[in-house]
Amino acid sequence: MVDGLRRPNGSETSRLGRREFLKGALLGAAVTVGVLSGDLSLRVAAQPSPPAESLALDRESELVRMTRELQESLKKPLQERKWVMVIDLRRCVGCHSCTVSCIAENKTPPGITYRPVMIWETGEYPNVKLNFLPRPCMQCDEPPCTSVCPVNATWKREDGIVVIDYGKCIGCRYCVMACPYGARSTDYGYEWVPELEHGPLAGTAAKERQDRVKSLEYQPTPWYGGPYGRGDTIGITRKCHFCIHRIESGVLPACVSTCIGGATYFGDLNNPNSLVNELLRRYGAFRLKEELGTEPSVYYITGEGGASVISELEAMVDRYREEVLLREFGGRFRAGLGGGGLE
Amino acid sequence: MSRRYLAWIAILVVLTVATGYSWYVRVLYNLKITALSQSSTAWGLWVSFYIFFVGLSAGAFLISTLVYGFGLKNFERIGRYALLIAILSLFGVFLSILPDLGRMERFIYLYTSPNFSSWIAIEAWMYVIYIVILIAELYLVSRADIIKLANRGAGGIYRLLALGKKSYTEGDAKRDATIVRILALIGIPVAAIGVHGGTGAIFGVIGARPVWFGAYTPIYFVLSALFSGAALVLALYILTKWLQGGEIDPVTVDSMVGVVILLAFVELFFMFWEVVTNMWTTAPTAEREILNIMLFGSYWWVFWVVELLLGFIVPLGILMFTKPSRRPLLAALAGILMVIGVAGIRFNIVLPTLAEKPFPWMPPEWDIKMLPWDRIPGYVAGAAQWIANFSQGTYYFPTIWEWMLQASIIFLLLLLYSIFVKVIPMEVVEE
Repeated sequence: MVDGLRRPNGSETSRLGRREFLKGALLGAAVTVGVLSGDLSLRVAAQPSPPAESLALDRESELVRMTRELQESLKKPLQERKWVMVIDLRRCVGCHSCTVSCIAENKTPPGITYRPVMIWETGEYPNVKLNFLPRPCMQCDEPPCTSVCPVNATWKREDGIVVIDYGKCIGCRYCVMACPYGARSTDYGYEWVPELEHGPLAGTAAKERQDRVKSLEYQPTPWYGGPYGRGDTIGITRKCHFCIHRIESGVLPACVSTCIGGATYFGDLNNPNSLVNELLRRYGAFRLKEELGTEPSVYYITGEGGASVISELEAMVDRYREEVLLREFGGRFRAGLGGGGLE
Repeated sequence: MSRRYLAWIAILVVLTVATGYSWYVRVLYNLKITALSQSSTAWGLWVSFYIFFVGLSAGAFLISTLVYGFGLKNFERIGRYALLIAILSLFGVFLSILPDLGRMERFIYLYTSPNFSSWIAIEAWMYVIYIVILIAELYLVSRADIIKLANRGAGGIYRLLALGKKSYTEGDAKRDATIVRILALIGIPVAAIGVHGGTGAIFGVIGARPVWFGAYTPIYFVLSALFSGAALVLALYILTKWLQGGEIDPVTVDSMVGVVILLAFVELFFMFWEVVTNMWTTAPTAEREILNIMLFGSYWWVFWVVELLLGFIVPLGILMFTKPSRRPLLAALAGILMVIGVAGIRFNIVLPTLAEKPFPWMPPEWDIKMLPWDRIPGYVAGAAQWIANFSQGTYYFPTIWEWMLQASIIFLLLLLYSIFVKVIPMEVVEE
């Protein structure tokens, strides 16, 4: 998927490869259906594949489309962009891929999780359901966290992303208190490799930390640092920033491009034709703690109008079966549909 | 200097140095030595003591205005004590909040690039205005005596402080009294609204935090400030006199005890309604949850034992059923207990609210950040584990380093106080 991103103009081989695979899988499914329904297998398999447009689930084209739209938006001046994230909870499978990829992308230390996935259970045994809710920074339009910063170390950019100047933050953690979403956390200086923290190697560890952590987030870039540039992040507050360093390079945020369920969308709200706008138009979306008036930039889609990835796949197979079998058997099949199979 | 006093100073020096080691550990390991780094609670003991010291300072200052702003003669003898306590408490404010900053060295940004929409920045500047008023006032009220001591040849320091002035006339006295009166009256809004109400506003404006948020918080801050300041001034006046072997003025003690009792009941009244309305809500609000944590959670003993029993019931019993001017040391004990009770109040302002997560389903790694003590060296870990054992089942319990550092601040302040009461003429010097 990342490869697909690096070729934003759309490498046909990669796309087709994926599509072929899907086609094969679907055919396989159709064949199985055929086998189950008698001696029709060969004839079913010989049929041409259905047109690609009929496949609702085409994650790669979504990613390519979002990347293309992202690059189009980058041509506009900063203040005309409005980045939003749309998370389709029906597709979230609670795999934590976004959390992991975020940690890998931003090299966050233990204790810092920009994008946790909250999991809770509803219902009683045996009718239980697990609910998943990824929680990035909401990048509020009315951020409660920026005005409380006593040293102007955090602010909302013109494109709606709330950033922290890590070189200026004094570590008072007042913004952590003010955030209603728990999206800010403090870097207490723990390392994933504790041996490097103390002892005879500690001196080298500090240097290594600076050298090793060549994450774009730490480097003095026009996107993060103020006049102070960016120093070490120990002792100060950190948060999700929609991977500005990736966005500004024309690449989707890490959590979006690695979401295996295709649940996370990213785009420009000011582009009326963008995928995020399309989704927001089509489905009802909600935002977290709307009653606080923080106007978050992260939307969640839930409820009717779609299905989980798995049921969507099932629906695809159903559709395909219907399409093929209908063509083959016409009215005989249609009659059989209601009557428990083919006669 | 009496032998009793020298022993007291020696003990304080030893204690300050011994506990001061925690500063070294703090600088070396940053906030990793705090229990904050193990929990989702981002503010802890040091912030509680920060508001505790702000309260003591504002309270002591407001007591001093009874003398210098309103001219109440009964309190005349404690006026300078109150001012000195206010100044040193403000120093305690600075010492308590400084180690709590993740980047101590950047604290200067509060003054070089302040954002005045933040109450922390407003406060940082308020404290400067406030300490200027305090120091000016203390200097002016003791100037006559400083000049007398300088003329008597009591020491170079007085000649320095006298600023070359050889005589102190009636006119000087009148002019100084006017300035002091103006400073005291300006100081009332500065202390009540700017310094302590403002510190309450740091918490009161945070809409995301139930119980903190609201108009009640700054008011409650100022009330407990008055109460704790009065109690501390009472206790320290008596103890200082006792240690110095001086005469304890019964009128002063009786008047102060009256003020302290009154303020204690006002404070209790406010606490009562805070607890009752929040626990009695018809809807299961977050406020009720938080109050529930405060009253019956892992810190139940802070409320019931430290605040109610030690802070109110025992000292009020002492003050109301003994004769304070005849048994001043008991009254001093009562005052100290009340101050400890207010420290509990401060702790319970900061901590229970933070036990409430922004979402009930935040993942565990958000809550407990690390396996506890395996990442710092053995001796640090061992000492920390010793006290962490007490904290089983609590969401945040200060580590031994947090306690030690806080203790070192208290010992240092007591030491400075003990030295300053010797240097500054606290009472009118006889000719």
